[in-house]
Amino acid sequence: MKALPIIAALVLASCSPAKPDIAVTDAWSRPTNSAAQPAVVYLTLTNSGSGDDRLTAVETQIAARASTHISTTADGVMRMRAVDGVDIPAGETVRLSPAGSHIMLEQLPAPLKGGSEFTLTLRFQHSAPRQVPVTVRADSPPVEHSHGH
Amino acid sequence: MATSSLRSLRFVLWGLVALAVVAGAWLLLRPAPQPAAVASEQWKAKIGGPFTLIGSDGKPFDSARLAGKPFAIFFGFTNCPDVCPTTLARLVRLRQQLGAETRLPIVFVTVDPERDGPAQIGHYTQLFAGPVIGLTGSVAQIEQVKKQFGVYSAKNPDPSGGYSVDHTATVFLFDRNGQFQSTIAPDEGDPSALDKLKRLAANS
Repeated sequence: MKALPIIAALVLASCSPAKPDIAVTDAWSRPTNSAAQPAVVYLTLTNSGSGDDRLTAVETQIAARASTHISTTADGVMRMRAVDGVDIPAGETVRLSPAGSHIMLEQLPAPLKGGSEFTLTLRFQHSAPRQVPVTVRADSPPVEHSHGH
Repeated sequence: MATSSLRSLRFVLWGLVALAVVAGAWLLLRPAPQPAAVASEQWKAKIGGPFTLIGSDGKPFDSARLAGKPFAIFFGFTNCPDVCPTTLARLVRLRQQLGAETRLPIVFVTVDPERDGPAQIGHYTQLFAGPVIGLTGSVAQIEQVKKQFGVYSAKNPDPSGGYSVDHTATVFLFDRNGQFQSTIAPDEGDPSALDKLKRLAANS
């Protein structure tokens, strides 16, 4: 008998659809000065919804290729690897930031100039695609604390 | 009769024990920094050493040009979108905080000499808000310098057909006599890194 309210609550909870609610902020990039150089985009993804989501693809008109990567450092050695997406669990904030996860842009027809802006399209597993303005910053923000990985 | 001689014997034996304890304690507790310090200095002396690479002007660059000033040296490649620009931009920014009069060359050595020729490395180092010395070389020259600094690097093929290069991302700090002093780790915070640079500049 005591189990009934619990069961009811569980049933109700599973019936209501868990929906992600993604906000994208602080999208920035660094200047490049030759077409051969890949470019980088960092941004913050906040999921204030009740459902998990995943960043699955990235596109932009200013580069032929855009993909998510992660830089990891172990024993002082830096390794960069392509990852096929970035999980954004419900209620969490995921930061793509220097020396961590980031978006890499390749085959840019023109170098990126400091102070300019371009648009990045983000595609998600559940949420609708999002167009994000990216600022090319001539100077980098300070590293406040160690990343502790 | 027997008791007093036994007592004397016991006294002597205990005396010997006491002596042994004191001697043992002295052996264990005496300061012996000399061997450890010498070993550490020897290890430090092994990192670095003279080298000749190629500058962004295509001409030979002799490390003797760095003598008389403390310097920071970092190994990377120009097709690195994240860690290399982050590290160099950070070093330049921290050097600015040391004051406009500070002479502390920041040296960037490519671990990808096949793609990073003098023009590429020279162009790349212009991206940063302050002077960065970009160096390249033949594959053999780069391998030699990597060995001297204990730097690891390896190509990692990319799905798109290109490659990235896994590499040691530590910044090595040297004093004005070319002696290795300390390192800045890739994930070390700015306050700690700035402190190291301050000490480096102050001791020089």
